[in-house]
Order: sequence, then structure tokens, then C-alpha cells
Amino acid sequence: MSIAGRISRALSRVAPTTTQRVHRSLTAPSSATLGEQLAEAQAQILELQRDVDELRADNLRIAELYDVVVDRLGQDGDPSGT
Amino acid sequence: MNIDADGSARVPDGDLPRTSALDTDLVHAARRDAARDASDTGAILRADVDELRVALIGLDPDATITVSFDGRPIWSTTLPEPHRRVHRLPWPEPLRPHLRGSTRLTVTDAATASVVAGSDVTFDDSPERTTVVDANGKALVVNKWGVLGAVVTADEDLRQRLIARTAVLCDDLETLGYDVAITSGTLLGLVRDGRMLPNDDDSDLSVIFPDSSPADLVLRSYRMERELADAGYTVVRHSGAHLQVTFLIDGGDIDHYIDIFTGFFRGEDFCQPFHLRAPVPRSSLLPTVRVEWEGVQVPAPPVPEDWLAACYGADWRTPDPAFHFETPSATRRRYENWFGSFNTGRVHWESYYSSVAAPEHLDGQQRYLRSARALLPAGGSVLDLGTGSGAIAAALAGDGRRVLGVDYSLKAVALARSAGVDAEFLNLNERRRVDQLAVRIRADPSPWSISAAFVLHTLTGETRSAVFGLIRSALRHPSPEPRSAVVAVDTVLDEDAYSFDDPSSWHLPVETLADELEPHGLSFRIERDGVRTTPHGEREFVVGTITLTTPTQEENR
Repeated sequence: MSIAGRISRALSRVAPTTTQRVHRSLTAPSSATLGEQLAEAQAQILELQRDVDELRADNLRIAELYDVVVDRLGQDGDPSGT
Repeated sequence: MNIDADGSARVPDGDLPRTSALDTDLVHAARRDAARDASDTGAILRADVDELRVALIGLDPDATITVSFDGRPIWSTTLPEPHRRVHRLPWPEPLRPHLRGSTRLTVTDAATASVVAGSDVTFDDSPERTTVVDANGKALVVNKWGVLGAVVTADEDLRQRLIARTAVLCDDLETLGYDVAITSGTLLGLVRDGRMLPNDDDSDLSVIFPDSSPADLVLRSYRMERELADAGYTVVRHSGAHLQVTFLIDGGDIDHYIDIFTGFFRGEDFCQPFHLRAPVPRSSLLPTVRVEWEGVQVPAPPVPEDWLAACYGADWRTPDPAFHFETPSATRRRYENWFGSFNTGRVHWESYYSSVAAPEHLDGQQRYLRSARALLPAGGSVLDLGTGSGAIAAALAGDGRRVLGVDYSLKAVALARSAGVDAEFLNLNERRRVDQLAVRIRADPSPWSISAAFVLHTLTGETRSAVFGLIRSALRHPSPEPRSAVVAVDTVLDEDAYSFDDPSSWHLPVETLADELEPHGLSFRIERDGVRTTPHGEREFVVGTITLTTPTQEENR
């Protein structure tokens, strides 16, 4: 699979709704005005930003939950053990 | 805008407010000042409790100035756009309560350190000199966050304690195996001036971790926090990448802090939340070298100029007391989501309780207490969230209940303990700590009830969500013994009183509370309502109970 294909597949897994909308807006013949297209693109960017922020925040939640478990077990919170 | 032949700005009618007689008088005085010493420059200031007005003739209108009271720097700022040569600077809100009595007010050009204007100012009829100090007499300045903070350089004993403790903390971190170095304002002061920055309020350290994954970085920071706590330090977490080692004095007041920022390499960039994300060569930062700072040996980056240019910009050698970070949105979003931000409201409450001498009953708390006594099981265990000075916790404990109070103000915890309350430092903004507490009380053979008096409306929605998880966990305890959750909230917004920086001015409508509880399988029932007197005026409040709406596993069985 090409790099573009891999990226497309990863994006559709991470943000399926947004990816579909972007795909539709890029491929569908549009009678919308430039302003409408711009507004839609801006909305899509904001939605993507929110998706990215959510995914980034998951890193913190993973660390928090992991630490709650190791705290309960009375162990060191560093998974690498270094 | 046009410029008249005499150099003054001319504004078309209706474009800007007309110049007042006071402003005209001020400009004329500045011109006389210039003429008196036969120079091309002159400056005159006037001040009252509302604002400072400065007229500059022939001086840089874009200058950064430092305002001093009786020779002590209080506030640094860039000059706003002048109107007819007069710069009008409203006093920062945190400074206003201190504008009493009289002072010799001077304005200094920060770039040249020369006094450009001075005047004897009388703010009110009070006979004393104007002082900007906290409840313990510690000197304060308007810091880079726009709030009043301690200034270490005004107190030589405090300065020496900070220097000695910084050196010891560096040694301890190195002994624990961390790559620690002085950073931020501490590094800037040393490299640029050979000493601490004027008006500095702490010292700053960075610890460079070998990880680059956000989750790994946070976990390593947790480990470092545990190690420091085990070594006897009081550690306050500001984010997953920022710890603040806090040193207390008797009574629980804060003596000073030392910040520890996490640094790490990610791709081409060196990252040091909350601001820095730029390509700094690893060889400019590691291995660290020993340098002399204020008479002690501390670790520093081998090429500090590269770090300083990346953080403060190419002009880092030019003093700018009014400097503030303008973090790019992409960097801010990255760091806030990777590492969180746990300090919301804490500065306000720490400041509030530093002026409280003993446990206090605020208006509304007695009515809350009457309800809580009726609704909380007699003789049971109660977790008092946001216990403050411990007045409610002490009363509930006096009834024969086992009470644990938690708060994220160190001074509040000290006050509660002085009232005999079993109190712990716990920041509800830290979900990890809330989760740990939930696990802890669920492990107890007996159930814990929850008390939260006038707390929920002072939290963000995200923090409330974590608290509701804790409440649900407590209510679902498998024991058949009774338990309950009693809360009070201010329910109505007063737009005139609202301030983001003062969580006590926030509100939480009952409908919003119910909506937020619903996903957690919880519901709210009003037990009583009323109006209470607060620093923000009369406020409507409700007292109610939070109950389970979805069946527990035990009930399903």
C-alpha cells in the first residue's frame, strides 16, 4: 500500500466522520460558493483539532490510570523499570 | 491622526475622547520639565487610585517602564498607546487594594535603568506610606502573570534560603539520577546579569527526561514526584510536566517555591512545557556543567545561550521586565492536552487562606451544616472535599464522625489541621489523585459519605466529572451500612462580580449539575435553598443530595 493509502487508512480510523466529510468535499462537484466552502473547511479543521486534542489527552489519561494501578500495587510507576 | 507643528497629536472630533484639562496640564508640565534642564526630554506623572498618567516629551513612547513606590519596584509594563502624549495606565486589579496612604512614585525606563519621572503621590487620607506586602509583611510585586507575588530579592534572608535550597535540591535530583540544570529566569539572570533577576519570586530547574512519548514522560514525572516526597519535599504538581517544590513556614504559609520543568527531545525539537518547542542541539543542553550562581555551585546547560535564544527570542540579552510568553497555539494545545493543567484556582485560594488566621464559618455554611448533620449518617466516615479552613469538617467530627478533609491550598490544610481536623493536601484538578482516593475509600471496610460545601461551582466541568466518579464510587460501596453525598452550590451568576481568576465568583445552575451527573448514573435532589452573603454580594444557593440513579452491581445480583 502507498504512503498516501496508509495515511488515509490511519486517518479514517482516527477520525472517521471527519475523513468522510473531507473526502466528500474534495471529490463531489460543488455548487457551493467559495465562502461556503471556506466555512465548511474551517469547521472541518476545528473538528480535526478537537480530534487531535482528544487523542493527545488520552496519553495523560493512560498515564493516570496506569499510575493508579501501580500505586495500588505499591510499585514504581515507570513501566520501563529504568 | 495628525501631528501639529508643535509635535502634539491631533485627533479628529469624535475619534477619541477629548483630552481632559488634566492631560493638557500634564503635557505642559512635561514640556516645562524639558525646558528647565535645557534638554529635549521631559516626563511628568500623576496618579490616583484609578490610574497612572505619564506624559513623555522626547522619550521612547514604546519603552518598558518599571513603577516603584518609595524606591521599591512594584510593577513593570509596556507603555500603552498615548493619547495626546499622555499614557494612561489603569492600575492592575491585584494592586488596587494596596493603594493607600502616600508614596514617592517613580517611573524608570527599564532599558536604561534611569528614572524618567517621579512625584509624591497621595492615594487617600491614610497617614501611612503605601506598602505592597502580604499578611506576613512579605514584599509583593505584580509578577509576569499579572498577579501579586513574593519578590525574593527584597528579603535577603529569604533570598539566601532560596539559593541554598536550590543547590541542595539540585544535588538531591542528581543523586536520584536526573539530568537537572537551572533554567528560565534563573538561567537568564545568571548568564545576562551574573545574578538573580530583580523581582524574581522563585528559582527554576529543568530535568531532561530520556523519553519522548507523553505517557512515558508523565509516568517518569510521577516517579520523580514520589522520590522527592520520600526525600521530605512538599511537592505540588502543576501539570504532567511541571512540579513545584514548595517550602513552608510555620503556620502553613508559603516561604518560596522552586519550579521543576520537564524537558525532552522529540524529533528535531527540544520541548520544555509550558512554552518552549524549538530545535536546540542536544549538545547545548547535555551533559550539564557546574557553574557558580549566587555563591553556590549548580548545574547548568553547557551552551545556555542556545536555550535562552530559543525561549526568550534573539533579544534575550536586552532586559524586559514586562516580558510575557506568547506561546504559539499549536505548542499550547500540544502541551495542555499531553500534560494537563492542574493549578486552576489554586493561586486564588492560597492567597485567600493566607489572610485567614483561624477556621471560619462563612455565611451559608451553618445552614449547610444543619442539613449535612441531618443527611449524613451518624457515626460514619465523611470525606469533606475542599475542606478549606476545616470549620465544617471539625463540626462533623465533633458529632462523632470520622472525617477526612482534603484541599489543594497548603495554607487551608494547615488551618484545618490546627482545628483538629484530619486533613490532607489533594488537588481535585488532578484526576489521578481523585482516582487514587476513590480506590482508597472503596478499600475501606465501611462506606464513606461525601460532603462538599460550596465547592462544586468553583471547579471546572472536567474536574467535576472526576469528582462525580469519586462520589459514585463511594456511594456504590458494597457494605450495607448507610452512606450519602451532600453538597451545596451557588447557583446564580452575578455578571458584575464574575472573574475567571476568582473561582468563588463562579456558579453552577441546578440544571447543569443534573445534566453533568446523569452520565455518571447520579442524580441531584434539592434539600433546601436560600440566599447567602458573600464577598460578591447576595448569592442564591441550594443544598442537596447526590444519589445513584442506576442500579449497582450488587442490586443487579
